[in-house]
Amino acid sequence: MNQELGIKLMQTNQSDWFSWIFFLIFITIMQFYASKLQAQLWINEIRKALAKLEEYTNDATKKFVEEASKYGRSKEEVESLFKRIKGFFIIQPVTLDPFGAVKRLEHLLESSRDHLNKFMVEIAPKADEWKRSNLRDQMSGVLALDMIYRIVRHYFILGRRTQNLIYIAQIQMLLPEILRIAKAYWKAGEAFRRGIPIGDSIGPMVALRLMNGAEPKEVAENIVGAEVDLEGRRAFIIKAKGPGSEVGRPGVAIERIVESRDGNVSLIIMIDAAAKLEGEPTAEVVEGIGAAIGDPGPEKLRIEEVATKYKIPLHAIAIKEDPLDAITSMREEIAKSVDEVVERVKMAIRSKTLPGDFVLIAGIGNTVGVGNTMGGAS
Amino acid sequence: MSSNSNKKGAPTGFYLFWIASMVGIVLISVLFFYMGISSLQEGNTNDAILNIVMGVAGMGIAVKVAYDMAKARLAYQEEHQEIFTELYCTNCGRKMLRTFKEGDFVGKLSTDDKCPKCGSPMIIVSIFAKTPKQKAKEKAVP
Repeated sequence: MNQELGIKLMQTNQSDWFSWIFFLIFITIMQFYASKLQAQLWINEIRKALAKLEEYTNDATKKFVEEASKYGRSKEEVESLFKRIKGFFIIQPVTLDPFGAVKRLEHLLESSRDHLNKFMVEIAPKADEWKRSNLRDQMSGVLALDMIYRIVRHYFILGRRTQNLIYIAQIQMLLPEILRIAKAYWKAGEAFRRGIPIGDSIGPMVALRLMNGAEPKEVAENIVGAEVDLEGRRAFIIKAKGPGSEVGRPGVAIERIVESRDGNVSLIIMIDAAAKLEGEPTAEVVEGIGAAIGDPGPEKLRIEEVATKYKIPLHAIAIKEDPLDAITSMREEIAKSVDEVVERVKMAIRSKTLPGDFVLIAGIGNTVGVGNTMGGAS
Repeated sequence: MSSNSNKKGAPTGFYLFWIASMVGIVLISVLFFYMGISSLQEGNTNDAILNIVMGVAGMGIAVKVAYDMAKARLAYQEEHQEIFTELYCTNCGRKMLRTFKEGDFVGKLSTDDKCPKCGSPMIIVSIFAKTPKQKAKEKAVP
């Protein structure tokens, strides 16, 4: 055996020896540097994604500045004011002692809303209420994009500096989803700028259809409502005050209406967009029980509390859509689902209440591009 | 999205790099094929097999590069959407679709849009986005 090997080795020419040595050196180096090479490949991927995120952020900022500067301030002034609000944040309330945490959160959300509204008056003094709310939410999209960019950049720099594969890997693996979310925020800016209804506007759109031309009145902060006859029942329909970008305080409105009637409400129906699971069709209409509202907590709590206090059934109708569709221009399938939702509302009323009963119907969501009455303003 | 926005192409350097890589790989593969066939004619089967395998592998890589380039090109193209406004005539019930205009909102009584049938003003009942894919799908359905 050894003799055969020796003969073979003698038969091998010099260039083959070099190849073997080169191969062995290569394998040895790769043993030590494979992970570094992998890290470098991932860093390059993150760098490319970061460039794309920067492009989205800069483009969204540019469009916001251009739009805001049409309402009483120069581009330079808007830019300098915008720099001041960049990095805006809300500090979550302490939950170590959970008592009153929702009240404290409600206060913080109210303060934040006031802060942004006052800022919009400063940045676009000549804009009307409608345009100002659209601009505010266009700016919120830019702020969200900026925050995503900052977080990815943080991990990129940290990963590059420490060459720690864990830092790099966790951001690299999330990149497709991060870019998808960023793209949605970037596109959302266009919808708010032009006042186009977004996927989340389906609730207010259904409410407007149900109001059937009735003249609404303001029942709570940025919430309008009108009473109509629906299937022989008295239905009070509420929605956020449009057509500017508003979600209003539906919790406060429902609480106020129920309390004003001493709980004499037979049913509360809530209509809202809901996140669909992958594989589920867009604009699928589903029903359930509970408060259909995607707020951080305070509004939902008010609704649940008042419904529980007077034992009023809460019926939820959800329109399934991709969470990213919810913040971008409304897709046709979602818009076309209005008729089906209206039919479901009528079915729920017929099956759960008696003629003459009082029903409260809430179209939850952002009302951008959706007015307050059918055939109202021209 | 408006029809004129978000239409962005990949940078020229990007295409040049990919095309140069692909051409280079194809040339090397052809060279290996040529060497393989020459070796076969000379009766050197071992070298012929090795060179032809290298040529096939090179062609495989070229195809992969072309596929990656096409994929990257698609990634650069933003999905272009058109926004439509649906109007309804309260007098005769006729529905009409037109491109979205600034100032449109659902519920608005649009005095600018007259019903083509009875001439009454129309109400905006819906505003939505359509992609070219959706439009093509609609055209395909008889």
